[in-house]
Amino acid sequence: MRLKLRGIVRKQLRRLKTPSGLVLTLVGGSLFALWIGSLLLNWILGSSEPSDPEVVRPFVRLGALMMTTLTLSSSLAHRGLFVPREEIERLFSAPLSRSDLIRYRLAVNLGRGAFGGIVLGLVVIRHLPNPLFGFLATFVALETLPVIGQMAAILSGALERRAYGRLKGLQAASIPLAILIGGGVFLLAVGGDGAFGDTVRSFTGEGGLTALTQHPLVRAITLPFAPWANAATATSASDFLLWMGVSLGIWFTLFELAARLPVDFRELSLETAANVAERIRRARRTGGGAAASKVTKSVVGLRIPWLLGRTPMGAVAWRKCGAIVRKARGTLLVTLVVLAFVTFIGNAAFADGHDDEERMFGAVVVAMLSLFYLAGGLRFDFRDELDRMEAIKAWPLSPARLFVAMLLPEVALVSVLAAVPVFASALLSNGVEWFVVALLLTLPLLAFAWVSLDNAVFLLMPVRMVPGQEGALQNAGRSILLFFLRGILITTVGGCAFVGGFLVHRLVLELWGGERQALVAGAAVGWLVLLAADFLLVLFGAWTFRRFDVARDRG
Amino acid sequence: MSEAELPPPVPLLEVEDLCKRYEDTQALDHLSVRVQEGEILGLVGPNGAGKTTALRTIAGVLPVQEGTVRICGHDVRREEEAAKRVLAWVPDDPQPFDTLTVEEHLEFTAALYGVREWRPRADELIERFELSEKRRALGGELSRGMRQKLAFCCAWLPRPRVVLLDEPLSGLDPRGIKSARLAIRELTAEGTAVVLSSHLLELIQALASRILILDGGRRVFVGTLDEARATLAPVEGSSLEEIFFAATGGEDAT
Repeated sequence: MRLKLRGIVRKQLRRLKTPSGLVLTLVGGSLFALWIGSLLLNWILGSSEPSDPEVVRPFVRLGALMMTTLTLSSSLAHRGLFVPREEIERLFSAPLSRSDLIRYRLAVNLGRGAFGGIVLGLVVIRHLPNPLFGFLATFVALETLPVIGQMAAILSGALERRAYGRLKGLQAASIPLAILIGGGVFLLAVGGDGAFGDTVRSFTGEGGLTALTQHPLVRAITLPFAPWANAATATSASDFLLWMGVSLGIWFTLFELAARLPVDFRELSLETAANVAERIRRARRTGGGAAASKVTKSVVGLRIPWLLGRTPMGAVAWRKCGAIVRKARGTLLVTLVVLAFVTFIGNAAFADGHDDEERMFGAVVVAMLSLFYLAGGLRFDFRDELDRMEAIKAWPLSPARLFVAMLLPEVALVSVLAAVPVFASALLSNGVEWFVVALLLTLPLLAFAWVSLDNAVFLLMPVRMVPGQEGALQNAGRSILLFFLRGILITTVGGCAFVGGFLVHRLVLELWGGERQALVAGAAVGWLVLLAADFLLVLFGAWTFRRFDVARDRG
Repeated sequence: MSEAELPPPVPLLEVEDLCKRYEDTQALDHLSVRVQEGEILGLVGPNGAGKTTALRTIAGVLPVQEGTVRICGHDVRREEEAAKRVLAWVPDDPQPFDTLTVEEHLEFTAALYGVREWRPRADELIERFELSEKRRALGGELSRGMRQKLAFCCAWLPRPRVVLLDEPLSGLDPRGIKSARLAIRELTAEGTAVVLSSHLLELIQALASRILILDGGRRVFVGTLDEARATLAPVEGSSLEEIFFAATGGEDAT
């Protein structure tokens, strides 16, 4: 444990040695400090009226049920005792008892869970009657989850041979089930006033989430979580100590039970370690998102279109199309669901009764939401090529042409998909108006600007972040920097396009007096400004590609 | 004009005063070398000698910081595309694309290098490197050796004038090693210049026309094996291994 901790600290310190690592750590750290600070300030300056424990308690129980469901669901994916591949051979061959191995892994998981426990504790204290009791009870509850998860993983591994098929089915069903429960609760929670809330209530009845928590069935299911809920919502020290004692007793009993389970988990653990290592490798290699999906033999028959012909540029674009056609199918299905949701929101924004300006704003918001989601999830560009940069840099193409060819298929896909909710929302409300057409024509340029900026920043500071791995702080810093940079760029470019278009619109209106001609001329100039911005971004991207050093920029 | 008066042939690869620095490490220190048509230059040196850095810089993967690299007369800094079009680079651990099949890798390479009638050549290469049964296999399904063979097929397809090979026999089985050696020989018979970097000194001794020994980024020796024996060998008739240890200051384990 000591050596592992030392290794983690050393890795973190090493990241601080590079200028980009230092900057990103500072930004990420500041962001985190700001967040925690805002939570504490919110609590200190917020309402001083204490929450009613009788009202809060059922919610705490329900929350504990949801978190336990998610923990059990994810632990089924780590059957046996999960030990990272780099440790497993050494630990399994070391003179350690199985119990000690489990205790070691539990200690590691508890160490990781402690951070989440502190953060969640700080998040929830303002909703609980006594902040100190609430914080401590939340922390203990969060620290019990890894123990429950580990027990479930070892037991499910032991049962696997007997009922493998059923367990696999349960595992497959548990994630959508958890999403369904979470989604349902979310919809109930957000279903406040307005049309959306009315729609939700028409399904759930007037009581909403409170009624759900009071339902006898829900109360029965959440009963095992009563000790934590009672400790978290305790109003007197005696109550708190009683329920905290019970919670700690449960924790200790589960810990020792998990450590003493008479199960030989070694074969399963080796298999799990290999599977997890492969998943991490794939995510690191591809940068996550849809590009990290596994490619199966079934996709071989799918033809890849030669969008730009059989030229060197066309070849690069063809390969990227191949990655999209053969990897993104699953993600595209999820994307369609998300886009349907965005269309639903967009429909509310486009609804009758709003004036022109509000409808235009609604259309832009829908487009930007879609772009934000799509550009983040569909990373079929340089971000999934870090391991192949050596080969890519040897290709006989100029950096600018290569940069464009790598990005074009993704930009085309993102533009088409982002156009769907804008177009559908317009069709469902006032029809396709002029600003919708202008927005649809602008989407490819905006998507290109968005994706090329992300790629240029990636080439400048390549990072391969996998959730749960080291470097979370740097990645958070990088994400926030990129977010601001993107915001500034899009605002500047959009502002220039708008001002240019507006001036030309006024000029044409003054000189010739035709509103229609003025609108077309203004839109055309705005479009050309965006095109010029994209051109400059290509030059910037080409420069970042040229300076990318395969020997140094390993992420 | 008699044969003796003919001007020396233009080298396909010219490296002059090439330097590469990583912060406090001089990876390449004024490296100069020329490789003629049909020649195999064996590149050897201890770990960290700068072999891979030299190959990557020649291939245009790393930028030329100082010095000049010309491929068929094209300066890799000024005529990057033209230089790369006549060059093939096979890194030590080729990473095929997991979404393309073996056949599609060749289709992609053909379009990338502008090879028009690529299919007969691709079929021939697939046959020669024993990938016939893997035509429809995805890149991610290939073993280390298969990946290496696929990298050879892609490198050979556009009939490059200069081929750079970094540890080309890694992961190959004995049959694969035999066919790779044969293929390299045939390539040079067609006039291609090959730079072959390897720690397998027997391979270099068997294949290379000339040898370049690097140590600490500096050129320790360049010439034929006989010239190396004459200048560096501790005893007459020394093997490349003995010459290597004599040149790089290491001790022969045997």
